[in-house]
Amino acid sequence: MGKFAPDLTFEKFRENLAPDDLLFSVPDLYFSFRPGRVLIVEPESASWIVLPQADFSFLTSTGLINPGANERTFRKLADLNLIAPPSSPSPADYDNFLRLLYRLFIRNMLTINGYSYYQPSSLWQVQKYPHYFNLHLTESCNLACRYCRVDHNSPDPMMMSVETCKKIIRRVLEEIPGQKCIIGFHGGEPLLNIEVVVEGSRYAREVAASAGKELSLSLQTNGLLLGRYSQLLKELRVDVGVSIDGPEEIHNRMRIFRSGRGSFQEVMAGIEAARKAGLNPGFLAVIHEPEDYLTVARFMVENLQAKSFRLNYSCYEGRAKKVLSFDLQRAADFAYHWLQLIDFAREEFMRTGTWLSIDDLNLFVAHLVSKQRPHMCYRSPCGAGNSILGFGHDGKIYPCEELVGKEEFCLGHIDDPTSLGRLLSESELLATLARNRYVDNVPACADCPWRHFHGAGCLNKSYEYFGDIAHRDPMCYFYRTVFEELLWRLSENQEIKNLISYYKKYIRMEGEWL
Amino acid sequence: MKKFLKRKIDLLPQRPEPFVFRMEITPEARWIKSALNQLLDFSTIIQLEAIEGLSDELLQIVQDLDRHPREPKIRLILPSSQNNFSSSFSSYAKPLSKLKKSTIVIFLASISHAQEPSLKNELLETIKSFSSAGLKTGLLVELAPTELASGIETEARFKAQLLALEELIACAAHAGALEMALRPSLSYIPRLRPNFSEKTSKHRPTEATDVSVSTLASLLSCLLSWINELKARGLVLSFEECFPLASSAPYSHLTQGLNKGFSLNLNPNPEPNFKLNLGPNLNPNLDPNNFTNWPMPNCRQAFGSCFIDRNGLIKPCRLSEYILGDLKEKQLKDIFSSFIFSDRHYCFSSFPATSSSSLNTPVRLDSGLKPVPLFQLLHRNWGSTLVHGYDSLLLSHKGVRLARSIDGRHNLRWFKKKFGAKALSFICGLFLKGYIRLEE
Ligand code: SF4
Ligand code: SF4
Repeated sequence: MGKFAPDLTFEKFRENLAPDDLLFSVPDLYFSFRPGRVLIVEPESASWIVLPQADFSFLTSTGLINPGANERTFRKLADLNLIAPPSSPSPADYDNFLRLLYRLFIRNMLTINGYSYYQPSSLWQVQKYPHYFNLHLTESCNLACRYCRVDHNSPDPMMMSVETCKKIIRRVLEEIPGQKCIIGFHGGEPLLNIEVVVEGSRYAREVAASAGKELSLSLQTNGLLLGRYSQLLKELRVDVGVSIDGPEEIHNRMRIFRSGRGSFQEVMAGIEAARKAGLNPGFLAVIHEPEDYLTVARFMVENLQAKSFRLNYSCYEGRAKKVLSFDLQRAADFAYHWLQLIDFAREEFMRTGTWLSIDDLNLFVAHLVSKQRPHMCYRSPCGAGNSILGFGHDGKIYPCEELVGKEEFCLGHIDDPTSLGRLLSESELLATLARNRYVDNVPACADCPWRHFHGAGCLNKSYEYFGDIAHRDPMCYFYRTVFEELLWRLSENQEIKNLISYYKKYIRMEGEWL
Repeated sequence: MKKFLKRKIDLLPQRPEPFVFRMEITPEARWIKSALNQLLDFSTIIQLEAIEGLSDELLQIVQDLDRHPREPKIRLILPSSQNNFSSSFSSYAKPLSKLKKSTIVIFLASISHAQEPSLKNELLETIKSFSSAGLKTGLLVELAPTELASGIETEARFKAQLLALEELIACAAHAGALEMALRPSLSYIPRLRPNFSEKTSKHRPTEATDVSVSTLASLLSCLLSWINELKARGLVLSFEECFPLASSAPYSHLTQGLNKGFSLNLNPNPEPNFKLNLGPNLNPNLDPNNFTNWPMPNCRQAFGSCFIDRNGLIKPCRLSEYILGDLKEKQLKDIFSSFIFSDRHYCFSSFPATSSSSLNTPVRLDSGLKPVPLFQLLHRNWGSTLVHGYDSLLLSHKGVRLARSIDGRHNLRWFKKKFGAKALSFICGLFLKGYIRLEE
């Protein structure tokens, strides 16, 4: 057998296979077992397969799969010709056997005559230029959520000036190549700086039009001021995301006014107003107690009629460091309850006929059913500085919105004369991040079977928790658990692939991955 | 290393210094810190066995190790035998989870953890909370088949133990443990070991009774077939140390297959009714003064790995009584340079040629392929050791030059041009041994 095209079909594989081809086992695979089935993971290329027990035992008996071995064993195809996997009805069913070989081969779990199958590298490739620009319009806020990443106490409201905002918008649109561009208004509470939202949005549309770029505008708010500004935001064509942590008693535990009073009623009124104005807000909830996942998801669907929402777990950052407990059981508990969202989404599908889109569940599924990477966050090397840039209220430039305000990550200032393109390509800091965050350079992730699925996670989270960017994700076990479980679930019930929802647009799902 | 330098440079010693160090540590031992400092120059893996459990001093030692610029992987073995081990460990999970180096915490258990529900739950809970904290965890079970090797229904009782163990292992995997391994308990060993009168440690376990080899052999074959069954179901279980007499079970530091080799010291085909007892004549081939005449074990005793006991004595292996030196008195590098090495060499020339008959040429390498390294290179003045996981290969200087250029950028045609046709057999050998991957 000679060379293989990247998109090798089974038919072509079968045609090319010759009796004296040598089939080699691959060392260092990861195995997990359940009654009657075995999951195999090939860590290097992030490939996986679930095999029936009978097929697996057959493969181990031939030595083509050699659990625990670190050397290759090999068999000549001709010597195996007469044996078909026990699960197939008869040895005549040679095709089944070849298909099994094919499935292993394209997952790099088998090599032929020394060849591994070509794997697209898009899983670890990063974009060349950022397209998402996140502007912190202010660091102040009209709420005082207990877990906020900004632990802002100073009397200075830290407002971005209209002039700074325009400068950022002009420079990113003009100096950074790429057709598509998203500008996000964040904070603090961005609506406290409404002047900049308005001026910035209008200016961005103008510049984008003259630069011939496709522009989207977005804004993440706590919802309090939506009553006042929804109409305006609608006119500006800004996509609005509202942070709401769930039903009243959950939301009010954390999302409070300075007085300590919960903000639920006001936020709901804001959402109401936004909808009246014709906006279609997205929702983001932060989960602090793992048991809340289902309650919050139900609230999103039943009370907010949302089909698409994001559930984040709370992180070790800002005020949360003092307020929340980050106990040992945390990752396991979060994983356990997070996984129940899958069944929840399935039930919803049965009830309504549409699949919910829950971030990051959809993203993880997208990763597992394709070899592509539609979203640049959470997997290192991540989007920080590659597809994302964050801007502080003072015009300072950072690789990612989460890093805004952390001086050690400052890339420069919008007033610097150097072009942004050069600033990025020549940045020592970005080069260091790219190198140290590449998962193969993160020592703690060295032997992790999931290293190329998870890529050591978010650099900011590692930095906040460990004080070091070259460290694993603090919720490591969460990821190890949910990846493995998702693979089992996908193999049991292929419907689940529909959970990728809107990522469908961006990736090519390959039937063979299921 | 003076001895080597006198040799012809391409003739490499079979036993260079180890790169996997297993070490027993107790908080009182003064020599540990300086020993670890010396070890760091040698090791790619340091396994610390906290025989008396964890303490603040030990945590400090581990944290210092973690801060050191060298990057060995850390393995920490915690004994789950004391009362309330889970609560005594739990306060350490968090600081341990903050270690930056690749760290795995392995819980050492015995068969009673599989058989007694309360112990078992405690162990599983501990594994789960350490895993949840982000640590990689493992389970190491000590077996003592000799304790069963008398009386009636020995085999049935052993099988029952294995069944209980199977459940424990499955639950541990579910709780997040990534590695499962077995090793013999020390009570199993002394009865099977030749007695070197000199140069042995003073701590000899007492009361060695005779054990029927045939009984033992049948237990061990039970064990091996059980392990193979598990393997066919996707459950990888391996031996941290060999079980003497288990002829197809090499000493393998947890990860490796059970497919080849034999254990040290013993006749692989004992006569059925041969009674083992302790004595210098057990195996006439074993002359303690002539290490080079020992049967070549498939384990890495004293070359790939070695063991340092609680008193600072360096031994080829935990199971061995042969003492290579005392870390309290000598420097590590002196101990290893005075150690006798065999003449066998292993590199470059011993790989199958890619051009001759089909048995020797399992791979038809297309010259367009590029080798991608999956190894670490440990440089020494006699050459180098290639390390992949727990396995190693010795390289001559020429081999080192070649290995250094394996970076996934050059294709085989380039290697052939630069190093000659032999380079291809070398690379082919590396591929077969899992040290490199080939890509287009
Ligand atoms: S953070 Fe954890 S799960 Fe992710 S790659 Fe590293 S070790 Fe693996
Ligand atoms: S630093 Fe974290 S939040 Fe920012 S892009 Fe990277 S993974 Fe995402």
